[in-house]
Amino acid sequence: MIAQALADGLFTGAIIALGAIGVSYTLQILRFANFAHSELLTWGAYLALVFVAFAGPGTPTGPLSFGWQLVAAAFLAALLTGVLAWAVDALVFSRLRRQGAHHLTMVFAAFGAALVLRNLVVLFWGHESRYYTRELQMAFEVLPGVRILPDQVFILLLTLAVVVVLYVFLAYSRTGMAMRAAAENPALAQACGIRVEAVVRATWILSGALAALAGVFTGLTPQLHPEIGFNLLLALFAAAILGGIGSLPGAVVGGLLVGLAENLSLLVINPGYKTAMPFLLLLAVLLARPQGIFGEKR
Amino acid sequence: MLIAEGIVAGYVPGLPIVQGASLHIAAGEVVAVIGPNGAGKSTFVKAIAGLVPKEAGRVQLAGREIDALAAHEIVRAGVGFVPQTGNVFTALSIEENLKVGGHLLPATRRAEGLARSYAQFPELAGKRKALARTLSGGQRQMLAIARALMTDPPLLILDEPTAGLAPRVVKEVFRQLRRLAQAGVAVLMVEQNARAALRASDRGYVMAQGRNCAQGEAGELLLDPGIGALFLGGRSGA
Repeated sequence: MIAQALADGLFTGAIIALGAIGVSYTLQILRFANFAHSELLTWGAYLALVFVAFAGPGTPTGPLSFGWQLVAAAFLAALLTGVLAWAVDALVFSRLRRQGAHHLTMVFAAFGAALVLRNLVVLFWGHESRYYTRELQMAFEVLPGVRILPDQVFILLLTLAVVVVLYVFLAYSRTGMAMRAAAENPALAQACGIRVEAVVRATWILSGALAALAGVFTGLTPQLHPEIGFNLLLALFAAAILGGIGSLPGAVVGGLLVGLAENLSLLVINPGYKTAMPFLLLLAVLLARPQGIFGEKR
Repeated sequence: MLIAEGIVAGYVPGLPIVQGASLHIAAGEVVAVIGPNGAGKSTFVKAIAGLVPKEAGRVQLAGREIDALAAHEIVRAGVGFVPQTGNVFTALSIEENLKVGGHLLPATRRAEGLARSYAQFPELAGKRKALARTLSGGQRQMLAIARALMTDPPLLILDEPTAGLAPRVVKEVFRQLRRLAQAGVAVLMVEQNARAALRASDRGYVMAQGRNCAQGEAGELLLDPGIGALFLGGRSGA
């Protein structure tokens, strides 16, 4: 039982981590809680559905329920969602920033943007659940009593690869370094010749792309509906704050901890209370280490 | 090198802190801007560097008008800036700080800049991988100066480079700035530590209430009894 909960927690946690990276960076660089972030997950998932409608999910490859077409659709959706995130910034947030808006104004604007984005999904695709693929998958037993789906293993590995690539990008590339610099000290970054607005744009595109992947992965297991992003919203914020704002390893570890906490809690409490677990964890961390696990004291 | 004339600037439109200040500086010169707290010294040099919006005035660098340029374009035009607080990226290593300073440079020139920085500040060379937050105040100031010099700028502007440093370190910072000037860099600094700054400078500007109120050779300003009483604390020691 515990082993199964750990496996499930790891899987949910990986998806939360992908979404939380964007939340963490927007909190750090733009200094406001972007409650519209979860809608980028939903949009990513539905944009991938559009590509799947054209190309099909592909013939199941090996034990997986889909072929390369779905993976390609996920990456195309990531690209488009990145552009969408940037467009939302250009239309809403950057205007407010230029006017020197209070960060509470930004938070309310984010709520507004979230409502518009979510209801556009309903308008275009309707309320009913959708599927990328109707293939049935056999779970296989990796350890006695621990069953996992091949799709889950694939998603876990792909998430790991994305995080490694992102880490290398942030650590060694010029843009990655500029992003870290601007996140810590925008004024000094400007004095170094970094165009902070360009960094902000890159942050949106990256957050949107990662959110889209998280959305597609959520939709794969097993279905899409217009609330898939919204249902994860609080888990994303819990993970980002738990790990420490602006830290990539923090967002990943935070995501995994939230996923594990949710699933392990099922062993002892009523499933109805599952979503409360991240907050207990968050509360404990905020009391013991307010800057988060990997965050720095300010 | 740099001519700034009639600069009006501030953070809130219509409420300028700097109200028509001017200065000029030649290559190889060290110039100090001094004055009481709230005189607008920092805002003045930040406006020159494009970090505070200008409402009026003109800034010319080596014959080129730069007053309409954005901050990153002013860096590209050849102005290095070292802010007073938050002058290094604490979560980045020394090497990364320097690389960010050379953000605008092509890879080969960035590598040259790194080599030059380490030659000039050997103390930094031994700690390339160390996070800037582990450095002492003096080391941070050296890193901040090295970072601003990555682009090899003809003009270096420093906002209170010795604030909060031990007297021995203050001397070292001024010694480095003199050395830069000898190499042909125009060094413009804002200093609270007026007497020590003037001793390390060729010329000085005294500001009060957002305007120039005196200027001249550093030695003359140091001896001027009126200025001494007003802005240098009235003592001849310090």
